[in-house]
Amino acid sequence: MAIPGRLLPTAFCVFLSGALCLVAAGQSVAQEKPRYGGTLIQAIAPNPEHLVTILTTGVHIHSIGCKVYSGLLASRRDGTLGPDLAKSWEVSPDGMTYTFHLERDVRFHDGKPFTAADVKFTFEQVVAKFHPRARRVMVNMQSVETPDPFTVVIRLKRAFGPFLLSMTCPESGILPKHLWEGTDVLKSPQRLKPVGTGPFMFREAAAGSHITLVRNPNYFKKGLPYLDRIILKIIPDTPARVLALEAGEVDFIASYFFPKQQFTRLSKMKEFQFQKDTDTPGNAIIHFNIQRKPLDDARVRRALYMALNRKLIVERADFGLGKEASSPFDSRFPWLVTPEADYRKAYPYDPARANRLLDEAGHPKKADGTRFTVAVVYMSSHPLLPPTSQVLRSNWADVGVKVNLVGVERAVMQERAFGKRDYDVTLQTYTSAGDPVGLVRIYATNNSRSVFVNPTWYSNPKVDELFSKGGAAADVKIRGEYYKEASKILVTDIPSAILFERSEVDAASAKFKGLWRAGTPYERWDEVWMAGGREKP
Amino acid sequence: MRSFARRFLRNLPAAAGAAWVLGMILVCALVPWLAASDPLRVGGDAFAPPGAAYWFGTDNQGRDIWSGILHGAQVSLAVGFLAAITSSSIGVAVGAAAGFHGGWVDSFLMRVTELFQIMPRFFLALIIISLFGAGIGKVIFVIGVLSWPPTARLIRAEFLTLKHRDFIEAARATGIGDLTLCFRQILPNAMAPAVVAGSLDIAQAILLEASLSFFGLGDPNLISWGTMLYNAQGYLRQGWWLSIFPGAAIFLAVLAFNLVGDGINEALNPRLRESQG
Amino acid sequence: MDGTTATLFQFVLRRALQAIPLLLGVVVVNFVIIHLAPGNPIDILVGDFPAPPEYVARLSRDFGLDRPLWEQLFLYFGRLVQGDLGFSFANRQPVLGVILDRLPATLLLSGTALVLAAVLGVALGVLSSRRPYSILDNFTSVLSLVGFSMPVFWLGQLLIMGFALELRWFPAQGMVSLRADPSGWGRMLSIAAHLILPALALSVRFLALNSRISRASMLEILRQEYIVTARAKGLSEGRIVYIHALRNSMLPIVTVIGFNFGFLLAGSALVETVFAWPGIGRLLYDSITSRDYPVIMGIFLAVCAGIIIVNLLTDIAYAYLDPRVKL
Repeated sequence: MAIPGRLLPTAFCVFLSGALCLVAAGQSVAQEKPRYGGTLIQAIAPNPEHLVTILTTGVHIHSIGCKVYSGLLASRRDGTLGPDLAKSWEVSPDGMTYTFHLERDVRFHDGKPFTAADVKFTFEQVVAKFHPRARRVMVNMQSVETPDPFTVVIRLKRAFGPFLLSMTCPESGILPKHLWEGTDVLKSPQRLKPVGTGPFMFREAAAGSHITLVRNPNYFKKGLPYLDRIILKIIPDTPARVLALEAGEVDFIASYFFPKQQFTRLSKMKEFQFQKDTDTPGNAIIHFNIQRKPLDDARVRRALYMALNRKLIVERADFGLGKEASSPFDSRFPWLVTPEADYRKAYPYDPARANRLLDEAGHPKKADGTRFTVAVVYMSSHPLLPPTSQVLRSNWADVGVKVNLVGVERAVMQERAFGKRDYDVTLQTYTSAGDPVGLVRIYATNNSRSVFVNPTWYSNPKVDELFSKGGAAADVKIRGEYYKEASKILVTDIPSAILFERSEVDAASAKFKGLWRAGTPYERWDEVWMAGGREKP
Repeated sequence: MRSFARRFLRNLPAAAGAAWVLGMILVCALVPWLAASDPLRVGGDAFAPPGAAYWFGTDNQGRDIWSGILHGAQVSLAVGFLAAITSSSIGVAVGAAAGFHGGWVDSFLMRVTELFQIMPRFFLALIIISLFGAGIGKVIFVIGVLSWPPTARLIRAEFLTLKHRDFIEAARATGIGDLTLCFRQILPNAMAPAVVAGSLDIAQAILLEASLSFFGLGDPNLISWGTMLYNAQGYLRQGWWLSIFPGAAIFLAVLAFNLVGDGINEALNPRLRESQG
Repeated sequence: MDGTTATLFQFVLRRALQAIPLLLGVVVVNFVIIHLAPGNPIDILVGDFPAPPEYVARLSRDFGLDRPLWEQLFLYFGRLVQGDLGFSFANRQPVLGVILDRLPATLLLSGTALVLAAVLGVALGVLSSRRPYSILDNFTSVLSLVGFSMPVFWLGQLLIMGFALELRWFPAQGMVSLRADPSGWGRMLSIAAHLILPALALSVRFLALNSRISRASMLEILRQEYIVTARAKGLSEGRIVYIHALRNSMLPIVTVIGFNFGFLLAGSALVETVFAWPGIGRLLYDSITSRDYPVIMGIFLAVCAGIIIVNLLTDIAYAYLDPRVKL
């Protein structure tokens, strides 16, 4: 069984810039008066090892923890940032100093008041030391000052445009200092009994079975939340999660845990509602090991890409939800798309032409009808890559290229593809975290052997330079020009190529309203309500 | 020998089992003619129900299930026979060495046998195959290496009783070497239980391979019945044919080898059948 | 302490001592296999991002992965003696707790399956032995053949398609409905409804074995002299069967269960997968994919210890049921 959604290669949000403006504006919710009461059951996997959002990149933990912990700010579906624990904030003109004014009447779930000291402790003692991703942003902090209990001033060493994005949950779910100070963060019992300031309080965790959150009656936003309980049911099996949704055992399956193959069938049923693009743009990628023959020859890579029926791949691996790739980044960043760098134009699906190109490149078909063999390495428990590999195998067989599928377990894949770079072709999925700077790692020169970067040995100083200019500039118009320039080179050189742009879809019972407010997988759900509930809390 | 064959064939279930096994072997040999299409070939027609175009329908990727069943037979039989040969060889070697030599060799080998016997085969195979990666060669090796202890015990017991029989003592008196004695004189007389165990091992190996594949650990370059069921698990609502045909294929193959094993056993020990009514 | 108890005690003690080197062997074999495998657990611990080397080093140190292998094994043994199975990488809690959380589900499933198989299997075997070659007898023979060769995971899928999806009599997956009353009778009923299909799937192999064996041993016993005598004395057929014969045919059934304990565990893992039952089998598979070495080692050790204990109990039951067998 695939272990669905297990820490899918998620965001690597280093130099986020620009706004999170790509998510389609949420449909207007019918103006009904929200009701109180009800239990929402969400399916997740795997069993969370802890519930503290700032200690992990695991989406399953974030989707629980962000209901218990609050950030200083909150993402909104239109891509802007709104208030959460900070009711207002200012940024100095030089972009070096951020001042947050905190809500005054906030209490942790244990009744102790929330103050600026908790924010300082969380950032300095926990995020900066332990958050695998955000610590890279936090090391850029000069100081965290608390001039009074309800003001936090953060000074940076260097100006950093997307800094505020790191002030939202999951990257800054504020911990209570009085419970965490002096404990060993990696082993504290608090890890599984979270106490936060969010709309829901932790009640119990039955390992391998479920986690129960209950309504926080003292939530600082008066009258919220509407729901009485949220239960997170752990269902490791993908098919089992869908069966549970259909049986009414589960009300919500986030995109990471929803098998897209069921979308077409379920979307016809009126008991369910769906929301597409509930995560930042992400894609599926093919990397060629350009140090190996015959893949060192760009003509061969182009022919191989041309032999791939990307439309069929989208249909079979992304179940028709996603889109055939056009740009070497993502067409959902319209400001960097150019018709001069479009895979569909440069390399349309054409097996006959691919055959010719391979002949010309000096790889004629041998007596047995094959030209050469390539080993394709991918993670066997990934939901999208095994079906992708099956189409690839068939398509390449059509042009006489024999494929040896090496579907391996996650740790082995990381070692073979990134650590040892022992592969001919590898299939991966990457996400942008909301900006093309999250995707440049596919092509940028990299010798670190780190995971989920560029493992192809491709190194082009010109491209690297365009990337760094594109990341630093402020105006998307200017940035777009740099990325367009880079796109043209990348489509021609084709060391790696995007196969398709994934579309993530959440599935939910139609009974619930207000589920999608943030446009990220870490919704707070303080405004979710169930039809047929009570007038009063 | 002839009476053995007659006894075996008079046993209707055993004869049916043998016929099914022969049928499978024939199918494996004729696969290129019976199912020309590549069983892993992704087609445009997904979830086509069984019919004239696709006898057993197609799966979620538009792959032909009939072709998958036939090609899967090759994998199952290859794993079944080769794993059983591996385990029988190890079992016979260990059992013979322990039974013939006796003394510390015997007690050491029996300790090792015991160690292998208490380790749950399926769990160990699961750990090894998922950590080292899927591949039919690895599966055969692992199943073979984990399945020999019962054979070793049987052979050892046979050796212990045969060792002191008159004809062996007589042969020993002529001064032939230990190895010759072992292979020429004792082993042929001890083989009967090993053959029975071997044919039951084939059934178990087929089942074990299918179980591992059902965890998604099948070789991605080959189609296997277990892999087909693994794949079907996600589509139980969309197409019953994704599950019915590969499942029935596993069941019938395992049943056939079990029947043959029982049949050989009963034909070798005619009393057994009577005592069972 | 009377004589029998003393013998039993000595027997158990002797077997326990013999088990120690076996368990040590199991740990070493498992440890070697895990560490020979390609891939490094630290990659999974770190997560999906290019982590700075000092963070990796820190995690390695926290989980003792920076020490040489022989030292890790030695430390493992040291903790084992104190009853400590280690600390789970993925769950970040003691392994014993992780296993104990999941154990009841597996015990419930396999226990129910065994009871089902014993009751139904013995009943079928005994009934058909009394009328050989009747319709019931033929049915039993076919059932035992089919049951023995049936892949449990396929049977599970068939049961889901038939009884859960088509007829909607039972839930298709999971162990308890969270919508049901979370405590008391509602919960018990909900678990029972979820339990039926997986327990049935798991029991079929044992049902087949039990019916076959109890039929054969009943036939043999019914022919024996003392039964013939009893019959001659005019004891009713029912009494003969249930008092004399049944007790003696328990012997092979105990053996079957003892011998097939490994199959029970393997079958349980497969059934847990088909029905999303939160047991040990699932936990093992999840631990393998997340490279949670301590949990893999812990489960494996626990399962082997379980097999040794079951073997021991089988021997004791043998002695109890058959006075001819001495411990």
